[in-house]
Amino acid sequence: MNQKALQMKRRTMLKAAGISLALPWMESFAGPLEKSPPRRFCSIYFPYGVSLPKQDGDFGQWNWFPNETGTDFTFNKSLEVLEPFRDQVTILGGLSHPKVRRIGGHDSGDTFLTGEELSLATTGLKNSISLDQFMARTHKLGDSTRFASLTLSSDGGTGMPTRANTLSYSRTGQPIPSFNRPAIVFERLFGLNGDSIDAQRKGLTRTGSHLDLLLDEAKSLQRKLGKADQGKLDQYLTSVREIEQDVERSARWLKVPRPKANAEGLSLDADNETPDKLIHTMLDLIALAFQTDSTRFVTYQLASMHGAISIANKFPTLLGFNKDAHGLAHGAGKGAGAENKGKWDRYQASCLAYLMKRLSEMEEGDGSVLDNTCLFYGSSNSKTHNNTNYPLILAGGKKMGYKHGQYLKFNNDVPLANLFVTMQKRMGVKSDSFADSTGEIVEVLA
Amino acid sequence: MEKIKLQFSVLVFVAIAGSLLVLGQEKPEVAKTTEAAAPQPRLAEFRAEIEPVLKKSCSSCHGAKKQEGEFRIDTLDPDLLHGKDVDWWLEAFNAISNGEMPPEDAKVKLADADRSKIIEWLSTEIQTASQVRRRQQGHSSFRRMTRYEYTYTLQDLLGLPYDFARDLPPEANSEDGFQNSSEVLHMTVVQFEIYRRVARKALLRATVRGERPPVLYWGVNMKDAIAREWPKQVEQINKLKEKFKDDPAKQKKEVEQLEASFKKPHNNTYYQELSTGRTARAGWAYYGAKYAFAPTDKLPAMPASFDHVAILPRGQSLIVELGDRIPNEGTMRVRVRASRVPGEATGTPSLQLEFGWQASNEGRARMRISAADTPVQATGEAPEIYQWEFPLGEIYPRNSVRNITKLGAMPNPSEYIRLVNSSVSQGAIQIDSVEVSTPVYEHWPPKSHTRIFVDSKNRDNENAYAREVIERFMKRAWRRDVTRAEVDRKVKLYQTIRPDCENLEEAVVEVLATVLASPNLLYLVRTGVEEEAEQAAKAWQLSSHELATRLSMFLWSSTPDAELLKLAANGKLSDPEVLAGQVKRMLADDRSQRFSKHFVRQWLDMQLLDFLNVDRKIHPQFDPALKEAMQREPIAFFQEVLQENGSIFSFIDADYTMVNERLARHYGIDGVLGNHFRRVNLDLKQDRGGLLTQAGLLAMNSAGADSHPLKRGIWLLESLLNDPPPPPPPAVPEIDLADPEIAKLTLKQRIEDHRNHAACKSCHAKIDPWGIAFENYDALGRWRNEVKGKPVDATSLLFNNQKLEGMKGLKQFLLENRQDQFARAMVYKMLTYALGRPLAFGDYASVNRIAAELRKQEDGLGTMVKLVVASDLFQSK
Repeated sequence: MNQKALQMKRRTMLKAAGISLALPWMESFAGPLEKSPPRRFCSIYFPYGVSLPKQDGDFGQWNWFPNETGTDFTFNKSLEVLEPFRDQVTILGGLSHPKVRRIGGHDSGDTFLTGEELSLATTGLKNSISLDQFMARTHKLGDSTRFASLTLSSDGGTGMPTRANTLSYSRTGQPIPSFNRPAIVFERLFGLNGDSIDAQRKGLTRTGSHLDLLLDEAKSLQRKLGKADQGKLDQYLTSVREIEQDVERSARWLKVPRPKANAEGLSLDADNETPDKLIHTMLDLIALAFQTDSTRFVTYQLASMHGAISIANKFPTLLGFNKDAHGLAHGAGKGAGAENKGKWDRYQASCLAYLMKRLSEMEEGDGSVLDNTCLFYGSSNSKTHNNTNYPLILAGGKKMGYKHGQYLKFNNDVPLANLFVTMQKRMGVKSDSFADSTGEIVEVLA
Repeated sequence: MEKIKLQFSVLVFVAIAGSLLVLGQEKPEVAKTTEAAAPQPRLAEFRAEIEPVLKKSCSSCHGAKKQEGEFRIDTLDPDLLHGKDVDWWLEAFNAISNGEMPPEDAKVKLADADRSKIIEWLSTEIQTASQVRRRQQGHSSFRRMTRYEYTYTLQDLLGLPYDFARDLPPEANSEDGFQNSSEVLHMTVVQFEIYRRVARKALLRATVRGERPPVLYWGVNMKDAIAREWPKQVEQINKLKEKFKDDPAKQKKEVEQLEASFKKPHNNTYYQELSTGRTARAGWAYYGAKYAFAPTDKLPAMPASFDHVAILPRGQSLIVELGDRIPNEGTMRVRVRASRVPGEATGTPSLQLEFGWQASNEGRARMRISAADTPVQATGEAPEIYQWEFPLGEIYPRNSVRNITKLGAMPNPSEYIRLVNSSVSQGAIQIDSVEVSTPVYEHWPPKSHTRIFVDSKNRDNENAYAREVIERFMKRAWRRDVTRAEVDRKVKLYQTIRPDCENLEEAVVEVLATVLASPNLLYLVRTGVEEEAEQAAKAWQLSSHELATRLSMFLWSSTPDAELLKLAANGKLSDPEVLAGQVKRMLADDRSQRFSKHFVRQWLDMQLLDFLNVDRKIHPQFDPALKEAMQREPIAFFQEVLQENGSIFSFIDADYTMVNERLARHYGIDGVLGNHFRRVNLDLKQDRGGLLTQAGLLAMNSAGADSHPLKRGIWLLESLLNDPPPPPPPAVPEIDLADPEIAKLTLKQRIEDHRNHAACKSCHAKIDPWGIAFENYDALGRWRNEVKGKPVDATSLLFNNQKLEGMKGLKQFLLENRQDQFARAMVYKMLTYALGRPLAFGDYASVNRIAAELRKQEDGLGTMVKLVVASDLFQSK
């Protein structure tokens, strides 16, 4: 049956699934107990940059960046929705990935968390590892939760190079497919597995022998292949090995019941036709995943830069804005276009505010989940086509050592990867470099 | 995005066809070159004949002093066979042979004789170089299956029509728009995990455990349905009587009036008692499941005669609620006795079947089950039975409160089927009986089970039987013979898990799941069997099993069937006549519709249409039925051309197209009734014909509100002529729409204004004229003579001042001047799809050869498929 033939209106469909209240991390986590709350990382990306009219012009109030730097800044209209969290956010200006400045303006979305020069000439359009995977997989910070990381987007899958539908890239620079249907994400995180522990253990053992066999077959096939083809099959081998690790992880987690999340009020049926519901449900799921310590690493691409064939490109139109996302960005250069785009910027910022609110309401230790979560929000364009001066917000994580309530402006000789180094160290990574970093950005630290 | 693809578009191959190659003989050129003396570049000829001309005609702009377009011709290495400048030579060749260079306004001229000389020399050198370089570069076809190929493969292996792989993430598109390209088909842990899960679940659905489940039946007659409505009318009458009980005369009059109204037809679905003419609206409400019919355990016979019917006017529907006992799996069969309403004008209304449920005010879902609309041709005097069968396991989502709340309580666990009169213009349909049975199994165990667990003399010896079943399945699934060692490993796994399992079947299914998730199934085209590779005549040649796989992936998007595997096993498949016979057989098979669907969608970049967002405030006509018809027309048209081996130039212009009623209305074609697609003659519709004028392709290259000449021009160049324009430079100036001077301009003037910017000119001169020729078609692809009160101006000038007069002129120009280019472009696209990889310079020679042969054999689309399959490229690794 064609998925598109579905005509669903079933907001309450999962409400009756017999679900109780969510448990905070201390109670649900039965692995080796940690003394302090977990540290988490979530990056949210939006395409095409922001409205940047002249600050002193007619539409200056729709310039995304605040007025005044330092702690005395005032929000313009696009970001005023963050006013309630003023002391929990840092606005960053002037930063970008130096290598990415050399590639096409619509090509930079893939590189937001990698900093790679994604061009045919230099890298053959091959990306490198993203910050979230570097922390979760390379440095194994994802090992202590049921899921090492969670990759979300509005369009789903991987998309194509330079128009990716994902922010996350593996060690070898392969795009990690993203999930875009709330019901599937919920099922993955909290799905009720009716089998007994014994049956599950049997299943895992079985899976183990399956994987051994598949690994064998893949290796014997690989021996017969040419070098380029061996590389392709490597992806299969890597996948099998990663599943093996996941099986081991699952075995460790076997006795820990899946956290019971409260689906009441979640619009798990939200889809492309109801973008507001869709985005907010995804944000709810991120909050739940963090609260239940199901994972500590999440990336969420609100939309790709794939223009006409991006599902999310039409979200603004569906929400009553006067153009699609690409159209708004292109019209932002002149007159009232700056305001139109600014309003969309404000909508996107309100999504960040919503997630912060949800996380701040979740108590944890003597603070909230927000205090132990580093949120990194932004775009890889300043305005459309322009790969410099990214609009960026660092938020949350007060108990991770961040100082907030300021607008910091940098010169473009500071690579964005310096901030990544600071973030990864706050998460617990023992490494002083990431991609083309030259140091750290200590101004964000308390 | 940078351009990845080489442009082979504008090769003239008169020279090639003439002397260099013996056409029609598809002997692999590689073999030839290794046997004969290695070909050499014709450098002496270059120095004597070509270089002086280039110096004279090109060097003033592309030489030492000036490098227009950052291109310099006098330093290019004339050795195409070994040198590094092949790409530049291709660009030069395109520009010269298309007459784009030297430009009209240049001081230097290029005499026709000189132009021919250059073209002749270059085309020969390019052709030779392409063959020589074939082995050095190029991409491998080795890749994993796409999501849709995996689905079809499971369907054909298991004999079940399910959409197995819908949980896999969507596939990416390659730079040329192909999803089956080896360059984009990565494997990640997320995908692998889903492949594994899908494989196991598919096998669990194909096989059964235990006894045949009892069947539930519903026999619903409209007499029973109407009986629920009568009391409501009686109640109304009683109320009226009570109201006027003090005024008998008035009471009588009022009651008579009300009773008369009970004989009227309605705009919504209603019931009618035929003998009395009495009617009642068909009511339905979800709460309390009051309208649910209870199932029985025996099939009630459909009554021979009837006096009560449900009448469904156009666009209306009838809900038949079935309660909460519909099983999760198995087939549901729905039979409906129906006809047109007697006395209605002739014509063919149509029915759709839906499945749905409503648990609460907001908790509900409804989905269409029927793939195609069912035309209802029966007349009222002779109603006929219309039947649907569908797998319940494919319905998602089901009502989640089944087995949680009781029928009649809230939330409501009941589910229903819904019959919809989906006609666009036709009249009402009447239904007297609906019969539902589920789960229906023709056989028990079902065929999908017994084709895995076959009958065998080994049945009583568990180990021998398990081995037999596993080995059989492996051969089918892996599309080749399997080695003893391979089977041994599977049997070992079987023996490991057998003690944990209740029976043999359970353990075997677990093992078979690893067969379906194995790289030997997921990856194309290597067979993994060493001996067979050695048997292949040359190292580059596909083994016969690999050939079977490539062929079935090409034409069926799926795994080879038993016949292909048999021909592969006995070595006959590579016999050219046998191969041609198989192509014929495969194209005649229904599965070839998958080829039409997936090739056309990818070739024409039709995902643009899937995501089309039309402003319905401006274009209220854009309804779902129109969009669906738009999506189907190009595929139906391709299928028609393919089946009759029509000329590929039908895609440029044709005197017929494929439409249904909705699309015909959109085109202004009269007399097309009903929702099925059929061929219609376009003699009276000069503004239609070929792909260029199909509404969907025009609409997807529009801007939602209005046409978009730029998109249309680029699409024409990319998809049809395979001559994509270079990508826009990094700093594109924005068009200032707020400038009142610009807002005033027509679109064409605006584009011309844009083109006058120096930065834009060189590219846009190549794109815009093509797109402007489409201007008589609006954002939905309808014909128009005026835009915003001004007459449409669809004339444009190509380079060299070649004039295009609208669509007619464009088609005429293409048919007169670009037939060879179009033929090559189509061969290029089809080969890319057939091989599942991007083409490289080394493939150039084959593309030309096939295209030349196609022209010789009169341009049939079916001929093209045959030539592609017969080509050395198709049969090489």
